[in-house]
Amino acid sequence: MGTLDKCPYCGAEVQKRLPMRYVRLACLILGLLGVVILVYAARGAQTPLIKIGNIGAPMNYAYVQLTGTVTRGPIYDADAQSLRFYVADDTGEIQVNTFRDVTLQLIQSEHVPAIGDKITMEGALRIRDEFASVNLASADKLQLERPTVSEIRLADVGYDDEFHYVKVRGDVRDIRQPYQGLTLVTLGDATGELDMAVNSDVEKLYGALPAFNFGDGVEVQGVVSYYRDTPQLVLRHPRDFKQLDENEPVVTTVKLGELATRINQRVRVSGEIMRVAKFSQGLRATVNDDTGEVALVLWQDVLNQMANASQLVTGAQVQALGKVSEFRGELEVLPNRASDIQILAPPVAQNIATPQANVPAPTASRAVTPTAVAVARSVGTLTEDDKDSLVIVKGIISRADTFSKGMRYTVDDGTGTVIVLGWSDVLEDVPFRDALVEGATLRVTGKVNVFNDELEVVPARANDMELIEVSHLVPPTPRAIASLSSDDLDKQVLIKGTVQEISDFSAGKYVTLQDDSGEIQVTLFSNVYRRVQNKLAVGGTVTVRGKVNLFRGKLEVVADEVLF
Amino acid sequence: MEYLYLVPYAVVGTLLASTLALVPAMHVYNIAGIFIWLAVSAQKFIGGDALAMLLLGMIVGYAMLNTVSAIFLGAPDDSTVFIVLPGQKYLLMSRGFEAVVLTGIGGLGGILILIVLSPIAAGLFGALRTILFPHLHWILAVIIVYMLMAEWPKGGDRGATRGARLWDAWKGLGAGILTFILSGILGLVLMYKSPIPLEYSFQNLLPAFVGLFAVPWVLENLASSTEIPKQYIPTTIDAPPSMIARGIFSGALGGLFAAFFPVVTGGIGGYLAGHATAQRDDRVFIISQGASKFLYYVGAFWLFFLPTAGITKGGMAGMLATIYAPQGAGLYYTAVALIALCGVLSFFLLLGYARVAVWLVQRVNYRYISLVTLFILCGVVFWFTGVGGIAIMLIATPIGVLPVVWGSRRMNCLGVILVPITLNLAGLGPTVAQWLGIV
Repeated sequence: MGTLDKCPYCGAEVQKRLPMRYVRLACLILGLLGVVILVYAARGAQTPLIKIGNIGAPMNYAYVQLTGTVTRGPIYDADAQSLRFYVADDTGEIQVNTFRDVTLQLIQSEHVPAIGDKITMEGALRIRDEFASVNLASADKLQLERPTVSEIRLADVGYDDEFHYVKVRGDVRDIRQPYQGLTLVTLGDATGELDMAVNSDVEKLYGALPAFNFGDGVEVQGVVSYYRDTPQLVLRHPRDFKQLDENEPVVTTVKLGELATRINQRVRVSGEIMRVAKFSQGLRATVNDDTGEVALVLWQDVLNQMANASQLVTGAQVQALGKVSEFRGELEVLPNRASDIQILAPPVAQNIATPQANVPAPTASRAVTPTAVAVARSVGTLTEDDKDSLVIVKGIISRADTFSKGMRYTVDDGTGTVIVLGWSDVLEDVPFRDALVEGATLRVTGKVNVFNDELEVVPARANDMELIEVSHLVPPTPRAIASLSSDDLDKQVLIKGTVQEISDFSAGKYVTLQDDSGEIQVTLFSNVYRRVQNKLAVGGTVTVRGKVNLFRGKLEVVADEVLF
Repeated sequence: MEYLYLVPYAVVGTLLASTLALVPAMHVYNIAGIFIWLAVSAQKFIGGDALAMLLLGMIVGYAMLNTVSAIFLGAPDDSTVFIVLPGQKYLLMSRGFEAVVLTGIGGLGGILILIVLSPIAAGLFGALRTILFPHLHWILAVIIVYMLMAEWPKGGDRGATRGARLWDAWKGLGAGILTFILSGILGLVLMYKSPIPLEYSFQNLLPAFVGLFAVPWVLENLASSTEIPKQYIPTTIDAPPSMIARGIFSGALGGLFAAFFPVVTGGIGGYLAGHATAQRDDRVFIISQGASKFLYYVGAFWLFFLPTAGITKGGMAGMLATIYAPQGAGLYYTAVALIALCGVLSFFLLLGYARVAVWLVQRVNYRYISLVTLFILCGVVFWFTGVGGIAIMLIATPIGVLPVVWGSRRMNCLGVILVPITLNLAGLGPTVAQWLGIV
């Protein structure tokens, strides 16, 4: 700056200026040193370990370490090259994602986490709209501890076994696909049955299961998990599924004379049908093999599945797989499905036996044409001696209960009460069916029957029923779902709510109904569901009239009627 | 009418941000971070839609008003870093007020662009996202290469020897590349082994950005002896409509690019737009930067409301997305209307605050302002991120000073986000982190 002490442009004191090269050098050194120190410190630092329940929105993008057990998955998307699985610790559950190279590395190294594995992993948290997930940083940052397997009987699988890796043996009893991507294989051994869940993602990752058929004996290793209250075995890898030698049957054939020691076990029996008797809910065949006799009880849904049910007649040789139980002092074998029954030899002659007095099950005939003139009777005068007589009764419906095959109306004429049994196929044709509610006056022509020591009048056709007067009862106000308790068991209630979920079961539908106070499962048998299936949908508001029931320890309502 | 109740929230947000925008280095994301942190526990007091509109008003106010502190107080963030140089040139020419107004005009142009695009934005940006996002790592890599290669060797004609001349030409460029690498390593460490407490992870980059951008400017102000000349407050602006249009167009390109693409900030967007449209005039440049930063901040938040497109970009939207998801076209058009309303309100506030800033710099020594700014910076970093954040800020500061003393682009400091995220998108992030030994 020449002789100037101060710069005329920026005002800087010239004598006190620091050469820029010193400043540049200092910045360079400090910058490099700072980064080196930072990297060195970072190398020595541990990745913070957190509990899943402590993850909050401000932790978005944090790089953390987690430990836990795999509870669901893996779900594999081959197109996106992504894997997804869920990990839980004692505070919560979180979704873990892997992408592209990390996914490929896990697959190639056979390091894909499966349900039941204990894992320790590092990754970056992603939190969006309060949903948290973790992206696995690299395959090296995932440590797996595979569970050890223990052998168990099917009936012994319980809540304590959840996420345990177990080995079971059983016969293939059923194969079904509740939805695309999931196959359920029912396995049965001498103690019980259990579903094995095969996720299609397992097959995508590792290949298909070995081929198997109904009745094949298999040995399966899988992790116990619960779908709602139902235990199932989740297959982790196709190699965990093995077929057993034919010489190693899982369920042995037992002589009928030995069944007394096998109560509650699943057994295979064979013999000749000595008698066949139909009852309201199915068929009862008495089977004999020279060592003893047993009743083979086939429920109607099982009979409906059988293509050769007509061959279940006296003289046929039959083999059946089922659970041994005792009913009113008599041993019974109860198969679960049509595939459990085989006709070994065709009948020599067909002869359907008439109901016998010592057969405990009810035997109402559903397609009876009255052979005598119907006689009007007051309910109070009906006795067991009137069994099979054709009568006309008139009274007020005091109660209407659904059962799987129809409705039971309790009719009171002032002198007594009697059950009017309306089979579904009869009620379907009744034009005023919806008016058959508490308080309506009904006249019925039907045959008197005795079931469980109770008198019933069973109309044979729709025009045997006549609505005399509709109900004038003020419909009750729907109750809050949360107000239902075990004190309401077997009581008729009215509830109203929004349909949250509809799921299948063998005899109808389960509907989850929710109101402001809570939610409850409503059971709709097929006969009830058929009437409302076109209107019932998730999200819709419905009013349900039905009976409170206890099922698997939980309250439910068995619907008699669904109103919109 | 059902969304009318949201108007007061947006206006309050704008008024809040207008005050906070004047505080040097108080980035709106830091304030939003506090609000969201409180909202997580206070959601029963202020509903999701109301909180979203409050934050919308804040981002609009901040986007318009943060120029004042950048130009008059010398505390820019990455989006205003390009404004500061020409802005401070105007300040030294007694035209600081005019520079602020030019950026405000750019911001108003940004509002117009958003309104015009709003009916077609969902389809347009949704389609663009589907097409472009699978290739994001390539796009970002190209941007990085362009940024680095677009800085040509300077000088090279001084020096007694060839080596000296070569050094003279390449020292700046080399410093720029080194800045990019060092800031990139810093970003990788922050991504995988951040010393910042987990509860503040969403503010991981705050101390780095303060150290890389704000503190170097403040130190530079403290080191110089510049006296601000008396400022002139004009009643007219020296910018014909055609110039304004050119500036807005250029800025809109850059701002929307930055608003849409992950990782790309307003600074990068403005830089690319400036190159793409070959702007030479300082006025056009300042207007374009005003539009660019407005569209970068507000546009990114606006995309969050796009029905069906579901684009979350930017720190504000990213933080809000952790606790809220907007629903429906009604809310989207309400957001557009509130952007216009609050934008205009902010422009008038800008004029007022610029006058206040003119009064302030004329009465208070610039160095004292810078010193207070430095204390505020340190305080903000410590409050949000603790000792770990202060350490990061101290490490980032010399990296941020490198461009200042070596004459390279400050934009190279954006390696702190470009490097780790581009590597992650390419699937190489953990690999590189393992090479460094931090994972």
